[in-house]
Amino acid sequence: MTDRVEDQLTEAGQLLRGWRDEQEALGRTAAGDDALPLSPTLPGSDRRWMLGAAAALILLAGALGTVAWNRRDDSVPVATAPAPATVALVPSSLDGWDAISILDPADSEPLEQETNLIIVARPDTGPADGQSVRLTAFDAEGSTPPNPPGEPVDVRGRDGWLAETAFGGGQVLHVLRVLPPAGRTTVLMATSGPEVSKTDLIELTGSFDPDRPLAEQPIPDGWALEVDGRELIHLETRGVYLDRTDRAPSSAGHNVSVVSVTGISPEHVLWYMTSPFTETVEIRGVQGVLSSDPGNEFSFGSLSWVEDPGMAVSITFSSDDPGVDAVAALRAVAEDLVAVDAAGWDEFASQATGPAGDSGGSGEELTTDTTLLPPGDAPATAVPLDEPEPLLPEFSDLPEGPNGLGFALPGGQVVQVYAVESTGQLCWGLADDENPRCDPGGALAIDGAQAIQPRLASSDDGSIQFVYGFLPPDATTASVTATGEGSSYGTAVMIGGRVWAAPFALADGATQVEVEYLDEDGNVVAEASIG
Amino acid sequence: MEQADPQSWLDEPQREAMERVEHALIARFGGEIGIEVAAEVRAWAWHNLDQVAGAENPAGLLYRVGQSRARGHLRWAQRRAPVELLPEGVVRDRNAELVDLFRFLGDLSEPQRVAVVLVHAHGETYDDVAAVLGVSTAAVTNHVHRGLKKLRRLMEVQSD
Repeated sequence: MTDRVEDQLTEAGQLLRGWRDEQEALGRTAAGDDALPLSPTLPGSDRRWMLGAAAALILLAGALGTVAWNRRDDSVPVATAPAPATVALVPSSLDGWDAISILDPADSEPLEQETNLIIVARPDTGPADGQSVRLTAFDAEGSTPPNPPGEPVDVRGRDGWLAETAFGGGQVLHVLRVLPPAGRTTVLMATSGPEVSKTDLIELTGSFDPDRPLAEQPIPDGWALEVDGRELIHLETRGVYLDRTDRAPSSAGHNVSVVSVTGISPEHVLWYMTSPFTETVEIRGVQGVLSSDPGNEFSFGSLSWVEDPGMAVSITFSSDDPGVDAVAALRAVAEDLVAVDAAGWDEFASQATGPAGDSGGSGEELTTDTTLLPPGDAPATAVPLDEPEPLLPEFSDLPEGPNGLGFALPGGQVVQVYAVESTGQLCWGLADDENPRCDPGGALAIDGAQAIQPRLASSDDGSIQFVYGFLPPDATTASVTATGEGSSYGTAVMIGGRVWAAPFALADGATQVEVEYLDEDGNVVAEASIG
Repeated sequence: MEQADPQSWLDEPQREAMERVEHALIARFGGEIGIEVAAEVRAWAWHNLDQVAGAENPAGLLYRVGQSRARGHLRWAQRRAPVELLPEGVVRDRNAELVDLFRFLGDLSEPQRVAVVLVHAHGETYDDVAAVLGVSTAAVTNHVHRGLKKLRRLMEVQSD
């Protein structure tokens, strides 16, 4: 039996499908036949014929020497760009999105004006193998730039070839990818703005084999663009999404810029980090997806893409500045990482930390070994899974079943902790774990000392260890410490409502976990222990 | 001139997966962004047809691609604005309950909205929706149940 909500949903579905079909038809009409990607099964001769036709168009447009701003918005004046060195054409497939400019590879004319750039390309009109594509700036005299400096530029392309972003100072960065047949990736970036010199026309080329794991591939030098110490790059290449932004000063006082590369391929995720005080800090490995919220604070998004968490992480560090404390620098980086795979942490530990006082400056690479998870240095992070609400406001209203709330352990696993209302049990398991482990007896439903008794969660193979429990009413946080050499632990995080959790590794021979519950002033309001 | 089927390069299961993903993207990101992202996903699929063909769960793969592509759009979108599944002008003249429904769909969490729309508006199975979202069928059931419950509550309040 259906109710009126379901009836309306059925009608909504008809409306949605009708609208979608209408939009797609409009897009196709506006774009013409070329909007359709060429069939992968198109015979080679046909493909060559079409490429030839595209080349003819290029030459024709080049002869005309003009570029039309072919915008959907008629209110934007049509501008005539300075004649590019070779050609320009307006692919009809872009549904109103501006111009493509393919210049002679030998042409290295730099940007001349403060301007915005619109760069697009598509495979069937793109460059042939070995040919280069360059960005060109359009700042036609008497024309109004499509977007004033500093304003975000909406350059949604319909074919996925266009990427852009803006960063500090009003510069606008546009990135173009080109995929010649050999799989060699050319990335071109250009910026505009008063703070950027003429050298900002950048062409970066590197080899990228989409069939190989990212971590096995070299990162082309110079993929990161830094301007005035600020970085924000949105780079798309085949199978890779790279997003870069500034990060707030780390707890160690360093400004650490973070680049996250999240593979479209589910198992390939790569991080790349730099900071102003280092030449490079690279972290490669399969990790969770980093995303930036509007405030440019990094936070973990879904980790559901991580299907192969065993890939190693390696970090190299060097600096020509003898005054740089490499250990501190890498520790700062470590503090900014909240989830890398276990093997990665081990590798990180083998290089990142050394004996006290080892600065690691003067370009030397750190290879010393020590523990990776000093107390409090590697906090777990609350990870909203696919059911972010409610945030466990009260035990009586906890989400039931899998996919409740989760947090990421330093080992990279995402653990979700949730309650089963009917039994009063607090359960945990890996994401989408069909066989969660539950605290027996529903003891956490009761009040008093037993309610605040922390639980030690441990998988059979020991790869997952954490402590979790409830906060007393007066407490705002839990502080976890351990005794026993070799034990390590991270900062407790709230994963919703009164439920907290903290990564924990109890070494052999360790004896006890102590938990202090603190109020907002740091006063201990309750204590509990396992041991 | 006869226009080619825009998705003739996909086989039937892939076309179905693509359509399901498009519905999901529109439900998740709203019509304006969803339709753009869907176009990008199609383009990506064309470039990566081998990967799509070899994927155990092509719908899930394409949806993840869409999630990734959506970031570029969301960057400039007013994220805090409620998601509009359809432009206001499309919905405005419909019956009042339908107008309310579209408004309240924007109040659901993303997974709830996607699950409810796919299951109850587009008639997809729970298993298919689970494949798109990359979650368990039980999770989809949970989302649909919670989403419908919330919608009913909101609609009830509205009619009172």
